[in-house]
Amino acid sequence: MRRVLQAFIMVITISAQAFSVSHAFEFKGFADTSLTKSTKDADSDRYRNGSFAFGAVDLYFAESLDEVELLSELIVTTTGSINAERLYLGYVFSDQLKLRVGRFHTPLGFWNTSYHHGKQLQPTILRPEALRFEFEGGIFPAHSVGAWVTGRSRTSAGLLEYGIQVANGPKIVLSGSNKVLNPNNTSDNNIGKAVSFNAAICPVMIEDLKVGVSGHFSRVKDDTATPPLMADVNQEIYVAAFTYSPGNVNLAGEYFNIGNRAESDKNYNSSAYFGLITYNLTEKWVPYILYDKMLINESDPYFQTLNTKDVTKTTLGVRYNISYMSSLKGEVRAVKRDNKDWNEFALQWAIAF
Amino acid sequence: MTNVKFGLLSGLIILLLSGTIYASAYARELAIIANKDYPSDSISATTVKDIYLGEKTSERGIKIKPMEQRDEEIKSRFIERVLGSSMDGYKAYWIKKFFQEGVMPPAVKGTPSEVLTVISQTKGAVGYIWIDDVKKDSGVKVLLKIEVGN
Repeated sequence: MRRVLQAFIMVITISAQAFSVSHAFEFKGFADTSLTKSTKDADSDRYRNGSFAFGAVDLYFAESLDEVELLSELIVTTTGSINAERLYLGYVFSDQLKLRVGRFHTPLGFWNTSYHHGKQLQPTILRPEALRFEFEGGIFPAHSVGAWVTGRSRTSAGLLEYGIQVANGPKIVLSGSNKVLNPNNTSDNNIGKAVSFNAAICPVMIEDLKVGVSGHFSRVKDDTATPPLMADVNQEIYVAAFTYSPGNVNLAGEYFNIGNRAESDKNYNSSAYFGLITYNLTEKWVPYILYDKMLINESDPYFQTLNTKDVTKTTLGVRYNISYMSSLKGEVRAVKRDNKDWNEFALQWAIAF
Repeated sequence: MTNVKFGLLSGLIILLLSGTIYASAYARELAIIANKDYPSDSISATTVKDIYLGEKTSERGIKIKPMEQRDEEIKSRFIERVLGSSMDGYKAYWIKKFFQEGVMPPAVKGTPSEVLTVISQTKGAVGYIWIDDVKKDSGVKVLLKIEVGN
């Protein structure tokens, strides 16, 4: 069945590419390759020699036919499988009111809806710890499947952006030997829908500033064992975010508060945040520093199930823009996870095509 | 001696003024044009920027269809002076915008006459053109004139 689905997606992709030649159909893609060396478990060959890795190939197309829009982002992974990361149909009533139905990135904070899977656009090599994708051990569902009403409006106070999303409640599944979140792509096996909201303003008083708040309320089901090891968890996530770009400096920060309540009605609270500073030295050279931290309540059954630990990470890096379609990034990272320290050195070459 | 100084000063002022007037007289102007049925007769520079950056896509229920010029001179002048961006910055912006939100970048058209023809025949179409290229009875209306330097 999986092979049939992959073949179907491949046919759709090729058809879309052929169609784009004769129609105003925008077809784009991203790819990246990297080299990472770490001092973690320094005795093993893998870490001593460093590892080359070819990132996923990201095939992306969108179409807009008057009020109707279609967007699709397919990832060809290094194992050869094809995943539909974003896939939605939309209807644009006006700039103030757009309806989208399908799979998208959960509108929590700014980063998750700004940077998807194409590494060329992302300012750093890795996403912040709190925003890792589900299969990488993410702490909340980066993707949602449902309906999203969104819009923006220019007012005397500034440009307002807002949205509300209703989606399938996420579940925890087994991926290899790891337990990871899954946004429930084709069905919803728990009693509550996940609801998210987001609101942001770019105030006219302070040029180049954007501040916003967002929230996510869901019921997370453990699907890894029968009977489940973890009782259903009612989750509330609140996020405050900002970006500010005075001159050549770009500042960004997001704070996440994650509240989980198990059936025992006991509340567990954890938090995470990151701050990013980039400086456009020239159009080509952009040094940056990213600091991110996760403070996890270790007695929370949700994080115990996902095996999430405290993390503190400082990343120093520099980006070299070969052109607007391609960049090189070099990073040094100091990582502390679960009271263990190590360093990482990474290079990445990313392109858009 | 006083007369000589006065004469020199007057000459300098006249020279500066005439230079300014000359430069002003020859500063090129862009016209922001739209299809005759476009639901507004004027537009602000901020709205033009919003349209070309994909932030504003409709006006009173009509979908706005921005058109781009292929000619590098007018295109770079428009992007640098009206949108306040470099050419590479603008291209990078649209890759990001398209990827993030699926908003389509402005359609690229060839010659000024082609731009005029397409805009006159397309509901909601908006474009930019040198003011000298706007012809009477061309089926478009001028929403804004913007001086973009020499």
